[in-house]
Amino acid sequence: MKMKCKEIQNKLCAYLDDELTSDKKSAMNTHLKTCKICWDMAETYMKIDKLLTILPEPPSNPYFYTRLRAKFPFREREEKITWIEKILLPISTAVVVCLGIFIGILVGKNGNGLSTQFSNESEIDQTFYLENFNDFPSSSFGEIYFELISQTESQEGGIL
Amino acid sequence: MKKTQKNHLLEMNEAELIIRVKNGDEKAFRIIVERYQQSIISLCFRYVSNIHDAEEIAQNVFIHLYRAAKSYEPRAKLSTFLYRIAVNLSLNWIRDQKRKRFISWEVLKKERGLDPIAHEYSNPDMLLERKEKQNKIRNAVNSLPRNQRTAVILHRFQGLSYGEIAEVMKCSVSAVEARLYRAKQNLIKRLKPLLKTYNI
Repeated sequence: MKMKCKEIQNKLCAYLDDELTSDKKSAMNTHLKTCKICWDMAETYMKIDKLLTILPEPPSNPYFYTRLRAKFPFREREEKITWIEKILLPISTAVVVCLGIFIGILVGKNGNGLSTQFSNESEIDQTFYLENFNDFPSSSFGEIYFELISQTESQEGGIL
Repeated sequence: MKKTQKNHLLEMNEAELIIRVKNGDEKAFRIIVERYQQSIISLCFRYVSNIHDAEEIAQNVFIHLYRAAKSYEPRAKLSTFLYRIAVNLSLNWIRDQKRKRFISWEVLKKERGLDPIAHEYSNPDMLLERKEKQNKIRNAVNSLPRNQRTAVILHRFQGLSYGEIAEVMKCSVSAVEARLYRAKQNLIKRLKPLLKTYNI
């Protein structure tokens, strides 16, 4: 197979990159052995290839995946969240609300009965340990003093 | 137990890994990322000449892959698919940057510090000379028409064969051959002064 210079130069890149079929390659070989112009051209192409290797490679980053992961929410997590958000959260909220209403009604019923169950105020105090909130301990001077004062005040009020 | 599972995943081929990613397996996704991250970053770096932007684009490439995993059909090689996305995103980035036309001095300074070869050159003159040479070559590659530049980057820097480049660029092998030929002609014109002083 005989090839002309123009044809050879068009195929030179593919020849140097080893991308030609074996018969084309051997035809190129025979031409390059005898043609100085094509040989010089091949050398220039090789120089260009060599020059390109001067450009530095970028450094590798060991945190690349960590950064990617931080940037990107994975579907696994998304799906779990949406499932919880869509079904479990509304149901649990509704249950809690219903339970709250039910307990409220129950407590309300019991609260109405308080006044009928405990007629005496001191009885209520004793039952719910309200005595503990008194300022003075029981049968102390302070308590006796305030009891006397309150008694006299009520008597005076009754007279007036 | 966990180690053996990871080894098992490492031995898996691309199609199996993609099926696992489709089902939301993050470990399989991580293996794909680790397998291709450096070549994708390197490819993006050739377009944008800035490591931070290259990593940002590479992250978007993998996000694209994750989102496209459900509809992904393993007709082409996974690497071809990734390279195609990387090329498109890098070209989009360049287009957006042309609009902004803003180069931060701080970024440039950092970039200069990131050159791994710089540490090997103790002589500042030699280092400067090399930097200048690199800039000239980079500018010459960047000034190539879009298709020629992509062909050169995929072939010279990523080591793809003509057939693989044709798949990434969705063209024929002879078109790739022609693009590389024209790219070399253009590079010879632009790098003439450098070629005169350069011996192989």
